[in-house]
Amino acid sequence: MSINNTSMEEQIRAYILEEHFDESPEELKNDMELISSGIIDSVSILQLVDFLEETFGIEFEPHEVDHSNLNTVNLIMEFVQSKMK
Amino acid sequence: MSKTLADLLLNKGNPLPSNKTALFCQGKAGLSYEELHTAWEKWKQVLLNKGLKNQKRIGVLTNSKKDALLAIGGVILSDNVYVPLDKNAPIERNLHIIADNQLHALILDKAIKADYRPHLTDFECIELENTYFLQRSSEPILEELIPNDLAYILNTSGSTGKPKGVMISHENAVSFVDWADEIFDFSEKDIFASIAPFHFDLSIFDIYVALKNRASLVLFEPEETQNPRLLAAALEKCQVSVLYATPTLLGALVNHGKLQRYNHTTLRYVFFAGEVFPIPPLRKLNAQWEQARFLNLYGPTETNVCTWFEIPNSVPNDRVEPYPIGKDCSHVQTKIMDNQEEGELLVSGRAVTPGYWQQSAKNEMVFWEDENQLVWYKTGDIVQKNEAGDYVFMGRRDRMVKRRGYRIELDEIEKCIGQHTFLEQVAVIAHQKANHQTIITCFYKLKKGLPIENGFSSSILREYSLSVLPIYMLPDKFEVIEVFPTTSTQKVDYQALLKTRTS
Repeated sequence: MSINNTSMEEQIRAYILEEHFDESPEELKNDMELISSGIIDSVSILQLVDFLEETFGIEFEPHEVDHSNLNTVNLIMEFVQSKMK
Repeated sequence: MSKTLADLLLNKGNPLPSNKTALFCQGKAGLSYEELHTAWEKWKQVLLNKGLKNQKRIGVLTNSKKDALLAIGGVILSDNVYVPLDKNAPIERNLHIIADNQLHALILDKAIKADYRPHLTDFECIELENTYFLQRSSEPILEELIPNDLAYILNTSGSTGKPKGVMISHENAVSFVDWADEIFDFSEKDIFASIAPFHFDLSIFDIYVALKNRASLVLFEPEETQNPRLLAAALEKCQVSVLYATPTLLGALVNHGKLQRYNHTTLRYVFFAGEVFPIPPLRKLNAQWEQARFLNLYGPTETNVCTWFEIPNSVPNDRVEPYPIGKDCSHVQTKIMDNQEEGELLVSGRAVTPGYWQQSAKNEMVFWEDENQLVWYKTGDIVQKNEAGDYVFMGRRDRMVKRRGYRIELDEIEKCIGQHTFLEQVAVIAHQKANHQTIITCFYKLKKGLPIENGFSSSILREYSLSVLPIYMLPDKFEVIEVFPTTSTQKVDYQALLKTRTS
C-alpha cells in the first residue's frame, strides 16, 4: 500500500480534529504534544491506535503503543511511515 | 488487642515459604518471601532508629511500586502510618498533602527527591541505598485529636479545592481483608495482579489479601496498565489468577487488548470497583474469560468495600441496565436514609473510617448517629433496593463524579482552575455519554481588558490545569462563555449548562 505524506497528514489531522480537538484547525500544530498535554487521554490513545491500524493497514506491537510513537502528529506520521516500509 | 495489618503481613505462627516468589516486578528482579521480610525489617529498623514509632505519619512517593511496598511494610511493622502519594500528581498537590497531613517523614526515590527536595526545606535528608529518607525537623502541631490505631491515610478529591485525607484504622482495613479472604477461596497458589496504584484503595485488597495468603503478587506500573496490549501479554506470562481493576481498565482490555491472542485460563477471579461497568464490554469480557468468576465490589474510600454482587456466568443478550452493587458484606451494616425506597446509602460497622484528617467540620456533615447511638457514614450515593434485595446505584447526591474509577469533586477542578489570574469565572460540569463515559467540561469567562486577550486559548488553560490538577481530573473540553446562566438566587445554573451538552 502506498500513500503520500500529504494525504497521511490530512487523515491523521482530520481524525484528531474530529475526535479530540475543540479549537480551530490552525491551532493544532504538528509538533504539539497530544498525550502529555492531556488533549488525548489514556483511553482515547487506544482508539487512535485502532484508527491508524485500520486506515493505514499497519499493526502496532504491544510495546509500540507508546507515547514515543504517538505524542505528536509528526511522531505518529514517522511511526506509520516506518511501519509501512 | 485487635488484629493489625502487621499481623496479616507477618502471618504469625507460620514459617515463611522458602524459595517462593512474593513479588513479581515487570522487567526487574522479583523478591522471595524471605527477601521481602528482610527488606521490611530493614525499613522498620531505619524508622525506629530515627525515633519514628507510635503512629508517626510517613509519606511514600517512589517511581516503582516495589520500592513503595518495601517501605510500606516497614511503616506498618514499626506501628507507623503510611501516606501513599501519587507520583503522577502535580508537585503542588503533593506538597499540599505533605503539609496538610503533617507528615513526620518521607520516603522518596532519587528522581523524585530531585524534584521535591527544594520545596521541603524543613526536612533533613539522608541517602539510603537507592532511596532517600527525609525527616521533618520540627514536631507537627495538631489542632484536633486523632485516633491511635491508624494504618494509612488516603487523600481523595475535596470539594473545597484541596484534597482531603481519609484516615483508615487497622480495624477498618483488617475487617475488609478478612471478609474478602473468608468469602472467596484464595490460596498460596494464587497469583494476584497489583494493577491499582497504592494511593488508590483497590490496592488494599491486592497487597494484604495476597500476602496474607502467602500468594504471589505481580506489580504493574501505570505505564503498563494503560497499555492493554502489554497488560494482556503480561497477564498470560505471569499466569495471573486474581485480578482487581476498574471497569475503565477492564473495558480497555477487552476492546483494545487483543485478548483472543492470549491464554488467560489461569484467571479465577475478576473483581471490579470504582464506577459503573457498562454492560456491552462486561458481557464481552465475561464471555472471553468464561472460567472466571466476576464480582462487582462497591464502597467509597471511607468504608472500602461494603456491598458486593456476583455477575452471572453469562450476561443475557437483552440486558441493558448495569448490574446492582449488591448486598452487605458481613463486616458492615447498610441501610437507606430514613428507610425510604430510594435514598442515600448509609454504612455502619468496623469498616467505617474514623474520619477525615483534621477536618472535624466535614466529619460532622458525613456522620450521622441514630437513636441507638450507632454511627452511620453517609455515602452520598443514591440507591434503590430491587426485588432480590440488591442495592442498585442511581446516582450522586452532590457534585462528585466518577471517571476511570477515580472520584472527582467538580468543585475541586473549578476552584483550582479558577485560580488562573486571567479568569473572571469558571464552572465545571460533567455529563455521561450513552456508553456511560463521563465527560467533564470547563466553561470559563476571561476578565475584561486583558492585554493578551487575543492570545489566550483553551490550550493555554489546559496546560495550566495540568499544573494544578492530576491528569485524571483534567476536563475533556474547555469552552469560553460570554454570559454564565444564573439561577434565581444568582448562582451558576449548572442545569442550564448541562443542557447545552446533552441536548
